Amino acid sequence: MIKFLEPTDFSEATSLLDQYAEEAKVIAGGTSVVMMLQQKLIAPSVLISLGRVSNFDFIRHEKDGLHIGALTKLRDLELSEVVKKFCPALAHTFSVVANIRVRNQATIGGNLSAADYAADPPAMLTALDARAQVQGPNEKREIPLSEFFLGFYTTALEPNEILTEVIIPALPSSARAAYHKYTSISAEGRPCVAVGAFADFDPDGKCLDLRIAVGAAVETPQRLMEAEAMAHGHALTDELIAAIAEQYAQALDPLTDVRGSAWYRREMIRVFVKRALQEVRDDR
Amino acid sequence: MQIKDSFVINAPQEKVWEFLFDIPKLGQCVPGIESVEVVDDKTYRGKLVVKVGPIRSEFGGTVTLTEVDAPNRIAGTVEGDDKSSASSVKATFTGTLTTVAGGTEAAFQVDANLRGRLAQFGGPVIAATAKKLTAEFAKNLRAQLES
Repeated sequence: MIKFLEPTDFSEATSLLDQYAEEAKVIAGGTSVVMMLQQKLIAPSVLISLGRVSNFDFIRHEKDGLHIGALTKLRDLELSEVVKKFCPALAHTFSVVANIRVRNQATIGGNLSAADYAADPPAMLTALDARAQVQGPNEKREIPLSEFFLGFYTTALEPNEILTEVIIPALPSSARAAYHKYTSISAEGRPCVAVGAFADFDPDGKCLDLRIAVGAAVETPQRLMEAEAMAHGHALTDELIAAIAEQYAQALDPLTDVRGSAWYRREMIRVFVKRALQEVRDDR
Repeated sequence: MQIKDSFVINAPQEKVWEFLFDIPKLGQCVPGIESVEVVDDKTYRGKLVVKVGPIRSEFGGTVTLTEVDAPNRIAGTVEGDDKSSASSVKATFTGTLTTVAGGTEAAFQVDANLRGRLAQFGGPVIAATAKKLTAEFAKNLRAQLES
């Protein structure tokens, strides 16, 4: 028998988590936790549901950026006019996660906390320099997403912490972003390669800032600062884009699974980094 | 699935070999080991807890040595299962010790066949976990042998 607890706010939830420690598992939308329960990969004696925690399904565009409550459903993010206006590529990223039934149920906090390597939002959010706000029994803190994913299904969350909010820093009006998902099995499948790209340009079209995060093909979303720096002060020509894509293909150490071999993924990283960069260059 | 790894310990080969056959001491160096028991000089029984994120598996099993060439090489088989996830593992392994410039190089190769629900996790997760466990094991071994 699993004890099902329904706290009504995050402080109650974190004290319960602190109390039950390793026996407990936090559940939000349940798309990941229920699957693991059914397959008996996890066997918690306590489930701490966030279903009754209110006021954390918000999407707010503030001065410092976009604030998203951890319990916001992916479907709401995909359809949100606020998200579309803030960054169309981000809304697009949520729209390609699994299928509509999953998106109606899955939350952004759950998606990130599950730290499934074969997921879409982590790569785009990493490229956008997002931060996770997390709460423990005694204090709140922020973790940059670049330091949040530690490995397969493993995050920087302490055992008694819960992710409460995702913050994406404000984007300059001259910036553009793109998300490219490559699926190798079915259209609604998990990504074989995920590429999130962000670039800012001066009025002459020279690149001021570039961030590219590759996910799904590697254990955690990866950025290569050296390759990104190749673009600084230059226009994104086809040659430069090809050179950056080549760096990503060479330097990353892709994994092999049912969605593709390491060799195949390396080839696809080259293709999809290139396409994502072409999109940020051309899509005005 | 094949897992291969190696590490160097700054200690003489004989000393490393001796330590590896001191089962209670060796057990303390294996990350996640809950119990280990010597059945006879070729057979050992143990329980190992492995954690990947929220997933905790508890493997009980038997290690049988099929070849012992002191102080250079061992080979054997492992059979075990994790009842809660209905998974089982069968593996053959070889391990070698070689004297190198920095001390002794320990190298091993495991050919494992994992069945059941854990197997769907696929190679990358298991390989990465094996790598982490090896690194931790090597660290523990060094702490014991390099003092």
